[in-house]
This record gives sequence, structure tokens and C-alpha cells, in this order.
Amino acid sequence: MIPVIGLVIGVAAGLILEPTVPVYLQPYLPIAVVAALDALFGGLRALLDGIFDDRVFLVSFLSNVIVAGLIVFLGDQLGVGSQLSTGVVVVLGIRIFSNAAAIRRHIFKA
Amino acid sequence: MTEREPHHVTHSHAADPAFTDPASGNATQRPKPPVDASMTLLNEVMHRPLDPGYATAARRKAREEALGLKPLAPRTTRIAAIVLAIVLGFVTVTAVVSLRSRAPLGQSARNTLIEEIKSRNTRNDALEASILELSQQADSLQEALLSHTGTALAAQIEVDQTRNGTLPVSGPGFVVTLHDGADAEEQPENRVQDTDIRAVVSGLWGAGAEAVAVNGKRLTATSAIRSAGDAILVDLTGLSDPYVIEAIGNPRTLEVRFAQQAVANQLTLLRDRYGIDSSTSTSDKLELAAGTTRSLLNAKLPKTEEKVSVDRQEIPNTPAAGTSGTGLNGPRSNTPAGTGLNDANHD
Repeated sequence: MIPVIGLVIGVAAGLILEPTVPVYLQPYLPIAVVAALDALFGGLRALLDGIFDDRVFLVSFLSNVIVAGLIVFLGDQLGVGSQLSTGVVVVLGIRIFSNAAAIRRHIFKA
Repeated sequence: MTEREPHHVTHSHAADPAFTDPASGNATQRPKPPVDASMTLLNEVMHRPLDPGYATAARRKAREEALGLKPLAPRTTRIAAIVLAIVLGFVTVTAVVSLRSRAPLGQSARNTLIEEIKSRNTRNDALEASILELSQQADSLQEALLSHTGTALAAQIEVDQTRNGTLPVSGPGFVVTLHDGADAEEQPENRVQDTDIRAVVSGLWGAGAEAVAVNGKRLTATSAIRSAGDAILVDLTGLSDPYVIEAIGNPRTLEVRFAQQAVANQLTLLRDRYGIDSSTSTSDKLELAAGTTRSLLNAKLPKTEEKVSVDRQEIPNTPAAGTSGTGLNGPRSNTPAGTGLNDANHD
């Protein structure tokens, strides 16, 4: 649970400080946000399943964001940036939907 | 993104969330189709959305508890975890904030322009109201000044203002009405043109009118009747069918003299050829509003032969205006007598 509190502290710091993102990182922002969403939903589902582990949560969060950024960067270098990012977004979206469905089953028992 | 496990273990029940999900209400799950190597991606994506690390960690914790070992993470690991969590939260929120703020920039520019338009319009209205108020103030000051210097100058000013259209007048007069011909929409030549109205107005002035107005717009010394596109404009105000041209003067005289003008023949021609209907009538009481606010084009300081000494006690005692001694050099033309001013109602 402690890392979740750390996460909340980081969120608050980001909202208060509002730093500007350097220009060379801006193309990777959308995919990073989607990857973070996927890790968040996975963590929430694990929490509801009763198997939440904070270390796994943090590692999955970090690796999701970094790998998504790396894939988009690789795609840009190869010239297939938009196609690769579409693929990544599709996969992450499916995962998000599956986790959300499981969460919904937990909450509404339906 | 996921731990590397040999794909033939994919269906091990402990790892597959669909099987271990305790809250899964699906009593009847359709049998999983056979798995082969080519379906790894789809299986990974659809059937294992949850990181199997959670399940592994859960098993590890269960085993450690069974063995009686308390899993106390070393201090550095915990601190690293917290720092990592803070960094991740910070980075994610920064990304979200920067993505959100870029979208409405176009909208805010548009809103700024709309606000500016509104404020300029308000300022415009305020300025127009102050123009009206100041000109009324100037008029009242002028009247107050003139009342000290006598009536000849005031009378001259009134005549001038009646002639140049800046004084509202009323009295008996003559009215000419023009209507567009039939099918004026499809046939533009059946519409009343600005030349027709100009001809009628010239005819009325020639017949001796003292004040003329078209559809309520008083014609001043600087008025223009012209057309812009399909509309007829008098001094920037658009007019529409029917066109009512009023003239103040002796009704009988105006009627007779108007019929003698050239424009009377032109009106007959318009009716025969284009169906433009024109009718005339006399009226006992016409009221014409003042023309648009006059703008000062010329101003000159008065010249005096003798030094001007404004003696406040003397001024109310001198009844004659326009004579030397008051220093005012107003327009010195003779007041024309009997020009029909008797008909115009003025105080």
C-alpha cells in the first residue's frame, strides 16, 4: 500500500508544479498515458482479486511506460511510427477492456 | 510487458485468471479452443490481461506464510519503491496535463476574440450615447447664448436648420408613394431604382417643398440617395418597398407644381412599362424627424471692429442682435419672408 501513497504524492506534485514537457518527448506522451492506464487497471483488478503486490504493480507500471515509449521510438526511427503506435494502442486497449470487465464483475457481481 | 513463460503452460490453471477468478459468475464457460504457436499473441492479449507477476507473487506470499517466514522487504527496497512510485505518478500526471492543455488553445483564441467584439460593441454604444448627449448640450448652450443676443440670429439659424434638415418639422404637405412592380423578385427592372426616387425628390424641391423625407429618413444638405446591390440607401440606411416620400409645404401648390415637373411624365412611363405604381396624396399634418447629427465642417472665430467687452449686465438689455457691439458675426443674409415658414410649426 505504501507505494500507492507514493503514487498519490507524485500525482499531487505533478498537478501543483505543472512542469513543461520537453519537445523531444512530446510525441510519446499519449502512448505513455495509455500504457500507464493499462498498468493501473491491472493493479486495480489484482487488488480486487486479492493478489495485489506493490512491487509487481510498480514494475509493471514502469515497464509498460518504458516499453511503449521504446516501441513508438523504434517505429519513428523505422518510419512506421503511426502503424506501430496503432498496434500498441490496440493491444493496450484490449487489455484495459478485459481488466475493466473483470473489475465490473467484481463490483457488480454481474 | 509480461513474464516469459513457455506457451504450453498458458493453460495452467493457476496462472490463467479466467480459471482462478473467484468472482467469475460464468458457470458455463465455453471450452477453450486448442492452442497452437500462431495464437500466442491473441491468447496473451485476450486471456491474460493481468500481469502473471501478481499470481506468482501471491503464490510466493502464500508459501512464505505457510512456512512461517515473515516477508519483510529490506529498507532500501522499500524506499526505492516509494521513490519510484512518486516519480511514476509525477510523470504520468505531467503527461496528462500537458496533453490536456494543448487541445483548447484554438478555442481560447476564439473566445478572446468574441469577448473583444462584445466589449468594443458596448464601448461603441456608450460613445454614441455620449455623442447624442454632448450634441444636445451644445444645442442647449447655443440656445441659451442666442437668447441673450436676440431673435434675428436665432430665427436665421432656425431657417437654416430647417433647410438643411437638422431640425424636426411638422406641417401640412404632399406625399408621393412608389411601389415595386409585379414580380419584382424575378425581374429586377420592375423594382424602384434610386434614380426614380432621386427624380421624385428633385421634382418636389422644384415644386417648392421645404423639407423632404424618404421612408422617414429626413433629407439633409449632405444626404445621398444611392443603391448598393439590390437595396436603396439614404445616408447608409437601407430602405425597402414601399417608398413613401413626404414633403412639407403648401399642399395645393405642391400638387399643382409637382404635376408640372418632368418627373410626372417619368412616373407615368414607369407605370406603363415596368408596372411601378406611384400615387400622390396631400396631408394636413406631416411630421418629419431631424436628419443625422450634423458634423462640424467649418468653424471661424468671430471678427470684431471694436474690442469685445463682455458686459454681463448689458447683454439682456440689448434687444437687437446681429448689430455690432455684441461681437457675433453670424450669417447676415436677409431673412426671407413668407416662404411658407408660416406653415412649418416652430416655437
